[in-house]
Amino acid sequence: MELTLEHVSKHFKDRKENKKAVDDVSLQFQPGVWGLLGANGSGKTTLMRMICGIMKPTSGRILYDGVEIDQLGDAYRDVIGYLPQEFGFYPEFTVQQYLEYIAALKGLTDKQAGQKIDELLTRLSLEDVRRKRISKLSGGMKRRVGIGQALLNDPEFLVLDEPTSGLDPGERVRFRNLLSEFAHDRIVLISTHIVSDIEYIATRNAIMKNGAILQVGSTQELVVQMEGRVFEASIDPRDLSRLEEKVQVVNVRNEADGSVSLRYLGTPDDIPQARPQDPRLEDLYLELFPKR
Amino acid sequence: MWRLYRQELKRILCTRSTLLFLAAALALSVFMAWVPVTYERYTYEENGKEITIEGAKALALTKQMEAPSAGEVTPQKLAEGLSYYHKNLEIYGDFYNEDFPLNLKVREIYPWRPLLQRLREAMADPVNGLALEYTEISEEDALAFYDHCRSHIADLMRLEQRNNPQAQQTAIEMYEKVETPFYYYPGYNTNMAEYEGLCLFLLMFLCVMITAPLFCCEYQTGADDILRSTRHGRKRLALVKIFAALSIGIAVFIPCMIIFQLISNSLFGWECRQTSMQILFSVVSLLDMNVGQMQNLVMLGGFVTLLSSISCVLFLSAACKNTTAAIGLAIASALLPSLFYMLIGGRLGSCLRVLLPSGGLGGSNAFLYAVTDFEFLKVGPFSVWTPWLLLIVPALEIPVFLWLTVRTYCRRSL
Repeated sequence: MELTLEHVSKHFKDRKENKKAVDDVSLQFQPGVWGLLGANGSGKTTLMRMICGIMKPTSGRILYDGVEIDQLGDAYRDVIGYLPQEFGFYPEFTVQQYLEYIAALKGLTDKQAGQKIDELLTRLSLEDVRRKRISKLSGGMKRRVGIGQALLNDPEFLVLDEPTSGLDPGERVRFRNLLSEFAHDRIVLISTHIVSDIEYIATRNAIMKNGAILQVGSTQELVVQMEGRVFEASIDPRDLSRLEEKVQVVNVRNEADGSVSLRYLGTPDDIPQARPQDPRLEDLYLELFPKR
Repeated sequence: MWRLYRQELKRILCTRSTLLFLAAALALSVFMAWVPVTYERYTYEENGKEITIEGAKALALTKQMEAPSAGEVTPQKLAEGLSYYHKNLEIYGDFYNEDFPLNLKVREIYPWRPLLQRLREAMADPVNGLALEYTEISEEDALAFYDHCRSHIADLMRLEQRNNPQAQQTAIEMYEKVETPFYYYPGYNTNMAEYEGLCLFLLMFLCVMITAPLFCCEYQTGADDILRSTRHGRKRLALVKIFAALSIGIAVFIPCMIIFQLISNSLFGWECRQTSMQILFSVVSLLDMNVGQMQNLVMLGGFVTLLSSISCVLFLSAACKNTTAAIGLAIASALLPSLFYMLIGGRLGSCLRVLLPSGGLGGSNAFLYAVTDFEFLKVGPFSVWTPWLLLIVPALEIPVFLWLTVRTYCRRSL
């Protein structure tokens, strides 16, 4: 099972300007959780829509097990599950009715649909709300319904665009665990700009900026380049604004003794008595997408 | 496919706006069938006082009053009615004379009016088309009523289609097929026929409103991305949405029109369906039909127009980015034929009206008026009577719009 992107580009005509939303992306996805990390507007959604066959690349090819997804047609759509960023649901439908509708679109028989819906509602803790209208559900529950629809056909390849937006911390953890469980022998691609969503569950990450893939690798492989670049120092709170001008601040923590612990990207000389830290994916993200 | 169709139908019918429109359609068909009865008036004199009765009771009294005219329209009946007119006009000069007793009119003038109006029409001046006064028509003319009808169609077509001899010839040939004698059964009137057309127009409007968001609301909410990534989320879903929209259109049309016809014909009398079109509208109406057959033809015209309008709106919905734009365009598509016909008029207005999918429903452009009119349009070397075009053109447009809908939906986003 392998999804290959070969020099995939997508251009949009924005007024008279020819805008490159995705620029010459080549990637190979194998089973496991893949994180697609990038700031808003970096081209993640366009890339995902092309991967799902909703949009055609301006140039390049997308292959599933060596065959172009256009040629695979229905067979390709049978193996993918997609949860877009904007999850458009039908307000008058109940959870059960909505899942039955999508199951019919995915070609499941009545019997298959019934069994699968029961199973997913249990797995996603939605049993109690199966007869409730989707419009009455909380943001987190709606997201879970969205994930449920994506899983209905037992996809080999699951594509989730910003799946954790609107979820509270507890729901995020539950969601991460669910995906890790599901990702066995499948490809799960998660696009996000929230680093913590993928830091601990992604087998591989791809970092996207201005439509292009900047880096690809496991979290460990990626963060290794940040060795010797991440430090923590205890500072006087009055110095904070001056230092923020000087270094890329990752995190600020107020300590009980009135001082401030500052995690930053830079050199040990930037702040006296700075201590080196183990780099994390978030540090790399901030290096690539600086806040300043 | 059947399962998907069922699910899609359920989805549409779950929508609150759809349920509201369906309820409105049902209420409308009852209301529109009942309203014309409220226009009925019957006035008579009692103890020197004018008394006016309205509604269903007035209708019953009118039927009673016009009983002498009921049944076969024989030349003898026309001559008898005319003799009453001559006798009274000799005494009172004209019908508006203040000395003319109202009850005398009720007894001797009004009962014959539906038939004698047609006699007057048949006797119109061949040069300028103006109707003659009753005093200018003799009882011998009344006895030759059906001969006058035949000569009147030739005169009328000469006036109406001066530069189109082919249309004149076609109209004469059509009229030759109209069987005589005519029949008249009091009760049903043109108000009722007009309300049938109006009811059809409003039903089309409601169906169009149900249909307009069908594709574009998925684009607007983002649901479309999920649908397109599923096995049947493209061509098959487009087809299913089309069938669902047409099914709802048919499901609205059939019961609503059955209700309308049941109420209206029960109120006005089922026997009125036997009245010849020539007595109700124009003595030279080109179709050999009675009111019942005409009602059915108007319904057929309405049905074809409805399906064609739904097809057009489905295409607009597939092409628009959001629901507001689709609803706006859907309303425009429903109203444009009436606007073109009223504002542009002439041959261009007629052509535009015929070409638009909802051309047969509306105000003055309604199919009913076309059926009672003598308008012919040039189609290549042929002169075709407008009602035939209003049936054929939308019927041809249905598959074209549906094909465009599927194509637009499937190619969207790619």
